[in-house]
Amino acid sequence: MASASTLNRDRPVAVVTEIERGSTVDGPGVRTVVFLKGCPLRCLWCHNPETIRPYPQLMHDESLCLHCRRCAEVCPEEEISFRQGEFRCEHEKCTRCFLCVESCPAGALTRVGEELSVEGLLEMVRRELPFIKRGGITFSGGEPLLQPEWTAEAARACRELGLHTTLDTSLYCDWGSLDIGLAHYSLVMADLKHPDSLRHQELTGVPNELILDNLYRLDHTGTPIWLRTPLIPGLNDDPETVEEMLGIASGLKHLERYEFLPYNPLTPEKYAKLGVDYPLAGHAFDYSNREELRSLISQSDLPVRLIR
Amino acid sequence: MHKERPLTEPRMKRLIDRRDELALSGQRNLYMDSVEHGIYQWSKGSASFAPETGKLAAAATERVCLGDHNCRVGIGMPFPYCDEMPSVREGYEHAPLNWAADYAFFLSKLEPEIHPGERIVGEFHWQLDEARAQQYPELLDEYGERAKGLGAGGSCQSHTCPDLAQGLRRGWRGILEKVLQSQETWSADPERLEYLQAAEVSCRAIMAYIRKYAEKARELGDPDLAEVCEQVATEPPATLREALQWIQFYQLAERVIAHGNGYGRLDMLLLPYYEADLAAGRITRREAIELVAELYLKYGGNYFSLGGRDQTGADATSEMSWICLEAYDLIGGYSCLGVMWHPDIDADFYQYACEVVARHKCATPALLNYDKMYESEVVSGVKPEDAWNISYSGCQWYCVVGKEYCDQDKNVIVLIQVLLRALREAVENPPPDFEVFYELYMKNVEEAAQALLELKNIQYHHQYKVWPEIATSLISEQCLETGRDITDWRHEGAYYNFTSVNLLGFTNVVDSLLAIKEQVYGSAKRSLAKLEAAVRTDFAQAEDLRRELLAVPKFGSDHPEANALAKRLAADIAHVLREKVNCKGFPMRPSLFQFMGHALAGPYLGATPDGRHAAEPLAQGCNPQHGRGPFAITEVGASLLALDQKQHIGAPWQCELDDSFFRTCDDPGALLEALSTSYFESGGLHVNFNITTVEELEDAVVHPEKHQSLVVKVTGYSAHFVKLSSHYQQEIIRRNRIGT
Repeated sequence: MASASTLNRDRPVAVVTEIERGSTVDGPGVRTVVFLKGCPLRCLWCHNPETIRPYPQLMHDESLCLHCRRCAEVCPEEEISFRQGEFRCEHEKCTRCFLCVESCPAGALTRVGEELSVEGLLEMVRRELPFIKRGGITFSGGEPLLQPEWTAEAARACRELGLHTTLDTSLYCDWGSLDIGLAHYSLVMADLKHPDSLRHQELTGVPNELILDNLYRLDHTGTPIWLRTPLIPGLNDDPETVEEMLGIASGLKHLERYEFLPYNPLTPEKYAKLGVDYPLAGHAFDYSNREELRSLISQSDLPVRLIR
Repeated sequence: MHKERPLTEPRMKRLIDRRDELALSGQRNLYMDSVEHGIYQWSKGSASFAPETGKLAAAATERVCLGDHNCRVGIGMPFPYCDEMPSVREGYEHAPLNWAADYAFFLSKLEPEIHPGERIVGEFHWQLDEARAQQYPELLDEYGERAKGLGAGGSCQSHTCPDLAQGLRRGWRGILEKVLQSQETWSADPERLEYLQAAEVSCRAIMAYIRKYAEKARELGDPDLAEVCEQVATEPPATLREALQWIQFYQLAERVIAHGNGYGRLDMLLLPYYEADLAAGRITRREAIELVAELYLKYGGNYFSLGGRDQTGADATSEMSWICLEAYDLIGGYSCLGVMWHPDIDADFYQYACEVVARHKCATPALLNYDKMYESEVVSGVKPEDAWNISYSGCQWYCVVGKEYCDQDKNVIVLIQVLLRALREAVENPPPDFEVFYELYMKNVEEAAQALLELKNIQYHHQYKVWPEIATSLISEQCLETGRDITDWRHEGAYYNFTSVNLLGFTNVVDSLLAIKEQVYGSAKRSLAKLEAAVRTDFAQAEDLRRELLAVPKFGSDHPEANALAKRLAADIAHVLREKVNCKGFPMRPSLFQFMGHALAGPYLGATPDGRHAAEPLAQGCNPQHGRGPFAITEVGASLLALDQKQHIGAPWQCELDDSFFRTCDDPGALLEALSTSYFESGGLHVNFNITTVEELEDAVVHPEKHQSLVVKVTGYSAHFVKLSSHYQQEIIRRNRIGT
């Protein structure tokens, strides 16, 4: 069974949720994005719940399921059942043997989370090089700094290929995890989710002092920084909060860009595939202050972008 | 950096409005006879696109609208003098002189039309095929039907490039003199002499037609225009305006016979005139831009190319390349320009070209890799000393200007029909393994190719008499010297006479073969008979099987097996075709694209073993099948790069980008530049970037009045979305869009 802790010094592997090719929204230009699995935060609005747990997980897509029950037949723990014709899995009892995935004829069951060595990544990167040599590679998550040595080593190797490297981090980590690879990141993208630490804890499960501390310290090193704030209606999008975040950003010397991202409520499918609940189900999403925010943000002297 | 300038001048604004009115009122619509014609590019009794009026016009219920892609400006009535055509009064013959008499009479009855404010003039309301039957002897139908049964078809439509440089240099008087000289040379050869007499009649008719414009301009009190027309009616043009007007009249003289060609490398053609005007202080840069823009406004569907290399291999980009592209940028909308990239191209110019694509969002200009085009021509057998002068010539095509008559555009092998035939044969006599199945498929491809070759050969033996392309021949290499039409099967006209063949359903066959390999010959061990029955019944009782077929890796995902199979299939089909030599002595060659049938063939031919329902469109050329994926842009790009693109004459990547692709991007043009450059450096040939959203397209179907200016790359051309038949609208909506 794989987990984030299976870091082997001789042949380090990371657990990776997905490698996305051809991204144009995770840093400058056309990029490959490595989503590392595992995250210390529990943002209520998380769009990628499959990246939270640090180990491989089973996902089930009801729309593709043939209800052929082959998975139930092969499951050694007998934790898969079809009640009233509907797929059920006791995810907590899953031993992650993934025999069910192999048995599925329709691709409805998938394993999310694969082990990847730096050499394995480089193999993919080399093939993709023609397309990303003008853009680069982004290490994202989850939280890539939960697997700091691997991320640093991978970034170093990609830089050696001449690639621009971006680290997309929550900054919720000990400074050493960031520092170990700092020489190899061309750019660091970090989120500002809420300026108030208590509120930050309510929304993301962790306070923000460590994050802000790391942010200022990072700025001190001269590394180019992009900040991002997802604007979640009712949670962090009131003008005062936004102004405070702009205030934090204005204290940075090496801020190149500050993106405010829109948030669309999720259809609960992605959570359903993992058998977990969407924390914001039932939340009232009120977008009525968007014009006000637009004018507030665009008045800023910072290199802000209000993304549609 | 050059940027779009606001159009403040009311004259240009009026001309743009008129262009849009003609498109949106349907007056520029192009039709084909039937769904069947769209698939086989041939149908019984139909030699070309559907004549809009006249005896051979298709029934309104049958024909399919390809959108505003016509040079003809319809005015809702038939040609008024059909009964007075010489062939009606004196007898119809399949002979050049008989044809030319009709052509001359027809031109003599076209009234000159000059619209307020125009500096470049000329348009027409009927094509010759509305007044003279463009019909092959019935004996050919037998060959057509046979080919259709085997999954092939074709008619002679071209998309070649006459040598406008030659025409501009000689002028009509010079061309006529050449015809007369050649008549003396061939005075003892009645057949060649007749052809040259037909050429003389045609040439004089064109000159008379142009003179009518001069008279009309004088009547309207526009002496400048009158002088321009007078000059170009006989003499070589001396100024940029005259050169543009010469080109416009030439296009009319050629388009009026109902054929579609490309017109070569516009920047190279026009540069000497612009430089002379500048030196003489006759023109400003802005005036030059507007004049070129006016040429586009008269008919946006003319295929011109910019960039590329010159004869020495150096970058051919010039100040005129900028002017030609800025002219499009000024007016936007419907146009069919292509920019030919190469590693040494003026980087600022290419960056600007990508900015223009991003700004106007409709794949204009098309982006092409000049060096790969060159290589592919050399692979076909074109001599390097000729190949340098290649030009994008329409849709996915390119050719050597003035030296190539490559019968492009409308010949096809319907690869999915061939597959369904092979599948039925396999049920009768099951192949033991996938390799034997694959051989069976290739045997069927070979049979279809042979039937197509036989159809083409018999067409070639008649084409030069049924519908000679005299206007094209007048300015193409050799034709006047030899007294042979460019279409003549004896191959004394153009140097190169390839038969280019569209492959319809390429991706569907790759996906289907892989599905058969995995599901029939892999561990699932499904029976071929069950698969065949499921496909035949459109998966009516076999949805589970369909899902399993869909779960097999698809082309476009950059899956190694799909890539390898695609590469193998493309190479094997290329080999089969290149072994087939036409009666002109030139091989057939494959093109991974067919510009009309993919949106039509689904319901007509049925479902396929890739899990595609009958009602779904086929994949466009070698692009991924609709609804598969989602695939990342680099996955699709890498999949196409798995093909050896120089083996094909055209393999466009139709890259559909959702607006969200540029969501966080400050400079969309730079992103397109990076992508296309990466693609070309890795061996890519051609990329069309359409930028749309599904919401916008769907709304345009319901509320066309709100989306009148929405122009998209349809297939090989751009057109107003609201003017397309629903087949094409739905096909475009269903394409795989790349975004976030």
